[in-house]
Parts: sequence; structure tokens; C-alpha cells
Amino acid sequence: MKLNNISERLIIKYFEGQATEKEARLISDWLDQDKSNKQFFAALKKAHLEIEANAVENDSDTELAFKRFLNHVDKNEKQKDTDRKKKNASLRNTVLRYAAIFIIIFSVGIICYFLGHNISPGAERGFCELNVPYGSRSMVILPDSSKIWLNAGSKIKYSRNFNLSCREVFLEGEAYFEIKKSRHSFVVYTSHLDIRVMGTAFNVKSYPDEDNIETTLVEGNILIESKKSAKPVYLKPREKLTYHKPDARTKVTCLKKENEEEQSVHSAPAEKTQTLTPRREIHIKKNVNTEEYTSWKDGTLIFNKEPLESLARKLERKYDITFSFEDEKLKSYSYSGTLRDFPLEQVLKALELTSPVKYSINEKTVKLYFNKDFKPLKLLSK
Amino acid sequence: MDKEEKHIVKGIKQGDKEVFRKLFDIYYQRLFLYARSYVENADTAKDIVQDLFINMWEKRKNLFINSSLSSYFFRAVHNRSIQFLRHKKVISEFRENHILKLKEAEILYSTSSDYIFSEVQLNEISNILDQTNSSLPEKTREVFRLSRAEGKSYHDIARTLNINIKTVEYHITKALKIFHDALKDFFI
Repeated sequence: MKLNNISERLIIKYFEGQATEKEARLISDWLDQDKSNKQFFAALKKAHLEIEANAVENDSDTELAFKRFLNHVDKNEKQKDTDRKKKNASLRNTVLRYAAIFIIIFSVGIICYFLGHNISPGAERGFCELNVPYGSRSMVILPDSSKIWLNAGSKIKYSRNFNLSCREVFLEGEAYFEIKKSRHSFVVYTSHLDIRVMGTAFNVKSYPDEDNIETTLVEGNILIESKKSAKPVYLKPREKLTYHKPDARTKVTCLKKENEEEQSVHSAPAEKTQTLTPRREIHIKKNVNTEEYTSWKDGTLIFNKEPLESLARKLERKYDITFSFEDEKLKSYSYSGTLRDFPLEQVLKALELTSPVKYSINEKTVKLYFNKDFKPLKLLSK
Repeated sequence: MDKEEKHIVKGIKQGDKEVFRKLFDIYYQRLFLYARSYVENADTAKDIVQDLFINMWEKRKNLFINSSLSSYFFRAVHNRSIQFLRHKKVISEFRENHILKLKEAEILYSTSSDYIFSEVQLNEISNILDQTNSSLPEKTREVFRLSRAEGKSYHDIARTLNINIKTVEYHITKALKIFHDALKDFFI
């Protein structure tokens, strides 16, 4: 049945919610008459939806709805980990109280792709891979509800068959793990070490461009096996294991025993005392402040007598920049302190104010110079 | 489902909030309007769509979508709206408008699996609508703008412009008719 002009207007009127009871009845009957009437009606309805969507396009409504969604989701997630959070709360609060001058929310970029989609050999199929570029951090929840925080410039890979009885991940870079307890062990594979755990929280740092692999245990216990030696090492809470890669570029590095005093952003050129004693492959440090190694996941860098060379590497990843040292001796200056998510310029300013260092920025490259006119601040006088 | 959609579904399953943000950008407004066209109450419509997204998040690991994303979303909103209407029917009077609503839902459900177009088509539709809008007679355009963009009631518009409420109705229907005609090729 063909539709005349009045009826089409009538349908529009109905869409507008303006149809009377009698008119609604008319449309209702007309719809029952013929299948093509229904099709026409459906087409009109869809067109109407698009017209409306276009006319009332309101980004703030969408924005608001998305915020409402995030709020709900975040609240639920938080509830789930309240227990864990409580344990860390007091420590974190202390850090926050002293360190938070401003907090800038760092943009977290996630690039996630699946090797299964790429043209890759059969062995690589069926893996999920998460890549976090420089300048970002990311968090992933695995199917067994274990959580992994990934630091800048890190990569994690796990089988798509990942499940409660088969828990294995491959890590390149730095990650903090909170592993759900289970009868089946969870294994983290790095280039040189395999770390086997049941249910615990720990940090692993294994960047390909660094000579050491570090594992810091927060709670529970973990078993670490070097791919070379058969003897596994057990780690207890608050212990940090450092593994010196046998293929490392620098075979010998031994820093001078540092000053024991604590100061905020204190700098003192550490004397270069490189000896020729080869470092042991595995070294365990007891009673470490685990916060120092895991705080990055919340955007904070805590460093303790850290040479500028390695501090610079951390900043490079965090801010996606490159440092170039115009004076070699700067590399051994050491710093202690806490950095929250400050803008890069502010961090560099802090370096300038507290140590004989000058900087210049050109796009993504930061040059560091020796500042011979530097006068130490008297604020921190002993 | 195309490659892009598969990628989105993976993102949903992984709980990638950025992916959810994208979903809100593409679908929220349309789903809201769709729900509102059934339940005739903006807050209820918002709740229905919000609830759908939260449900999707919570059940993301077991999510199974065998159609296109848009048809999945619209069916879900459809089902929820109908559920709401059915429940309301019990408590409200049985009215012709109400019967027609249910019939409408049934028709839309059976005659089309997809309510949403590709991004390219959406852009095209949006362009056509923009052009059509600027071609509307001045008075009609003003009435339509007050009704849609500012969400004013017919009554308010009549008062603001100092015209008869029937005239408001006339302008709106006229605008919609012109828009509908402009979009005919896309839908029929």
C-alpha cells in the first residue's frame, strides 16, 4: 500500500511523541496491513534517529556519560583490591605527604596489538603482546586477575591460552606484578632469568639496553632461576636480586661506597673508583626500601644515591627524550630524592639548582653541560 | 565483523578503557536517542545505555558477539527498553501509543539487523543533514534549532517566538519531512 503525504507526516508526528491516541491507532492498523508498510516505517525510523543524532550532537553528554561509566568501573575495581591497598596505604601516604607538591596526571598510552593478526611464523601465533612506548605507563589485568604494571619502553607477551593452570609471561623492560594466588605457579621469563612465583607482589627490571636485571620482592616468596646455572635462588620479602648479564657491555663497575646521609636532591660527585674486580653474577641486597623500586607504577621516581647516568636513563623512558652528556664527569654525580609526575622542565630545573649541571632542550634531546659557576644552595646546610 | 571491529572487541575483552571511550564516542548519543524513543524519558534512557556499558565491562571476558557491533548494541538497547516498557505496561494504562511503541520495536527488530552505518557513511549523512539544515526556511530552522539543540518544549518555543503552538508543530514536522526526504536514498 502506497503511503500518502499525510500519513508520512503522521508518522513523523508520532516519532515526535505528538500523536493522539486515535492517530496512534491509525498507524498501528496501517502497519498491520502490509509488510512493505513496515519496511517503510523502519526506514523512516532509522532516518529519524540519524536526524536526531545529528541535531542534538552533544559531546558534553557523551563526556558525562563516559565519566559516569569510569567512576562506576573504577569504584568496583578499587573495592576488589581494597585489602591490598590497605596494606600499602600508610607507606604510600607518607610518601605522598612529603613529595606531592603537584600531581600531574600523566597520559597513559597503550599500544596493544596481537601478533596473531600479523603475518608471523606459526610459533608466534596465539600470543597477546602489550607494548608500552617511551613516555607512558600501562596496566594490564590478566585472565587470572593478576595485575601487571608496565613501565615506559616495556613489552609483555603471553599466550592466548593463558589460564589459571598455565600462567606464563615474557617480559622485556620493567614491570610490577601483583600475582593472584593459585596452586599453579606463575612464571615470568626474561632474557636471562626465569622467575617462578605462586602469589605475590614483586618488581622486575630487565631492559635489553641495561647490564643488570633486577628483581625486588614486596611480599610472598619467589624462586629465580638463571638460564645458565641450575641452582635456583629464593628471595624473601624486602630483598632485591641483581643479576649482572654475562654479555654486558661493562664487565666491571663498582661504585664507591656512598655517603650514608639522606638528603633531598642532594648531589655530590661520587669519586670514580672503578676497580678491576669482576662483579659477581648474582647479588642479593637485604632490607631494601621496596617503594624505591616499585613507586614508578604510581608515577613517582624514588632514587637513592643514584648516578646521573642511570637517573637520566629513567627520565629518558619516562619523558620519551634523549640525554646527551657534554661532559663525561656529570655521569657519576649522584642524586637522592623523590620525583612525582612533574613536567620535564621542572625536573631539569631541580637538577640545575642542586648540582653543577646546566641543560638545554632541543626537541626531544636534552644536552647536559658542566656548570662551573654553580653555587650550592645554602638551604640544606648541615 | 571487519578487522577494525574485531580489534575493538579484543580491546573490550582486555578491559582497555580507551576502547570503551571510543565506543562511547561512536554509539552513546545514538543509543541514548534510540532508548529515549521507546521509554520517552531521558533519565531512564540514560540509565539503560549506561547499564548496558557497565554490563559489557563486567562481563567482558565472556563477551560473545557474532554480529556487527552496532547491531549488537542496538539489539541490547532494544531488549532493555522493551523490558522496561513491558514492566511499565503492567502498571500503566493500556494505551494506543503504547501498543504502537511495542509494535514499532518489533518491526525494527525484524526488518533490520543493522541500524548504524560505517564511519564514511555517517560522515556523508552528517554532511547531507548540515546542507539540508542550511537550506531550511529561516523560521523553520530557528524553531527546529530551539527544539533540538536547546531541547525546548513546543510550549516554550511558542512562548519565546510568540507564535501558536500549532505553528511550532508545523515547523518541526516540516523540517523533519525535509530531512527525511534528503535521507531517503540511505534508508529506502
